[in-house]
Amino acid sequence: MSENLERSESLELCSDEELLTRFRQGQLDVFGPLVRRYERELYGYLRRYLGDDALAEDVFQNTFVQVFQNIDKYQDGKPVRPWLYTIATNQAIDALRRAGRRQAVSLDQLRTTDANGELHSLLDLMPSAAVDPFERLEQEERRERVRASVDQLPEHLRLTVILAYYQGMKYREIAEVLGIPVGTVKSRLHVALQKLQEAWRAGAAALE
Amino acid sequence: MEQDLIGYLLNLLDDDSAQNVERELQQSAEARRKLTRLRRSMAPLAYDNAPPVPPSDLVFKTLRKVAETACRKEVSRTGLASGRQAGPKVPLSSSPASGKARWRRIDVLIAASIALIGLLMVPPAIVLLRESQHRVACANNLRELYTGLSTWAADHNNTLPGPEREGPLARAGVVMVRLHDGQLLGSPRQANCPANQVRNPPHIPSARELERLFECNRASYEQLVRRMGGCYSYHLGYVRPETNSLERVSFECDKLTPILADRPPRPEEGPGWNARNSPNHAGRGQNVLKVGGNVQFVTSRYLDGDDIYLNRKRRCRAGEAPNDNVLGPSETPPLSD
Repeated sequence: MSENLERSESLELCSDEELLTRFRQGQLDVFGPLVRRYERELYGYLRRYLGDDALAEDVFQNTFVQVFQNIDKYQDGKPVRPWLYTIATNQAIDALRRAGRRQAVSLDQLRTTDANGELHSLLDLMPSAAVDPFERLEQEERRERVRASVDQLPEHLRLTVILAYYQGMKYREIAEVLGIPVGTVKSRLHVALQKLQEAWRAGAAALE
Repeated sequence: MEQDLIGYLLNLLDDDSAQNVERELQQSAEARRKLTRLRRSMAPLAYDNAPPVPPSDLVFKTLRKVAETACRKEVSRTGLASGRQAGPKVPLSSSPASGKARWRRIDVLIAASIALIGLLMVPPAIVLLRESQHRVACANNLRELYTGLSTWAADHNNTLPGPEREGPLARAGVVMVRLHDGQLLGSPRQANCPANQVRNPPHIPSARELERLFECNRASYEQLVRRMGGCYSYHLGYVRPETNSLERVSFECDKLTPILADRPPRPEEGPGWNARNSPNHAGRGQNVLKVGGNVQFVTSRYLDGDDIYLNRKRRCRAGEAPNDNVLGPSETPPLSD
């Protein structure tokens, strides 16, 4: 047991690339630490993208099945993170196709907003440390409105926003994951943010 | 430029590009205004910053699925399933004898794969399991020591061994010396808590050796008394106020009286040493052996409101009253110097 523990502690210090290289060389026990290392991050990504717990769980599992089966295609030293995201994204797109498109979220949900018509006015409602139940409810509502507006974006823009904003990837990494030029990533993100602003404005104006 | 500003705000740029943007921002008021506007326009995204939480068994389920897939692949590759589409769902009972053997082999493959892949998947769980095993091993060790203590007490008017008031035997760890001299100690290893995984057992001297060292070489004596009690702490007795005599614990007292426990932190082990749990079990608590023979793992130094490692004057010395129980590490004298 202590031998296992020491070994697992030493694996914790390995980079992702070292883990995959070892796995490719036949060291099976590095696979568990790799899955655990990406558990939160990759599940979080898939859950945001797919909008469904069960589907996200299924795709997460299939992603690592694919890693296992396609380990021969991994080139030693190549950054693992974008490679994993590429597999996960492809799996997620396939899953969406199989399940039929997600039910679109209506922008009508934004009509409950109490903002004053300007995008920047939302800033004044940034979450505070208040624990007042009413305030908490308001924060939850704002979160839902933002999520709905991101969900409403076209697929390719939504993916870009999630990877850039929520997953914290560099332009270069996003380009690698989506298989598009960096310039396209930049313009997609720019367009996505413009659309989000429009949506937030429209939602606020609907109240007036 | 706006796209680079977005990248700068969200940390999407490589270092070179980020430096270019910084230079532009220093030189251009227009760029700074744009940045402020973009920052404000993106701010609402922060409302949804809480990351989704994965189900607790996600890693296990994933590894299981991978293992099953690997086994299926192996089965079809080696022809174990006789060219049939293999799958673990085929009932054992429907297979002929040879088929049963094959499926058992597949089961073994699956189990092996899960073991290989999943064994190391949750170090925190392994750590907890290991700690739990050490607590149990430590408790068993204390119970074995109890056997020796009770035998010693039977020959000494039902009194437990303990330190003398003064002289070479005036240290808490003398309990081990008494057990050792009485051949009541299975092995010196028993002075070590299994959680500490100390490879070498301490040298437990005879009382005569201690007396000799005390006279001839005080430095060696001090080193020895610190080690002889190993990883545990021992009852220091109490001072009877009326007579000012040092009294030892009797086997006839309250059965819940603590007599031996994992040792407390020492002063050199950092701030808060006199308030923390024993270091033996990662600071989570300590095993305490009681007069009745039971061992309890307690997560606090306090038993019934009494700090088992300090007396009422907050000193690691003998108690101030019969119910002021103090357990000190090996080198502790019962009375103040």
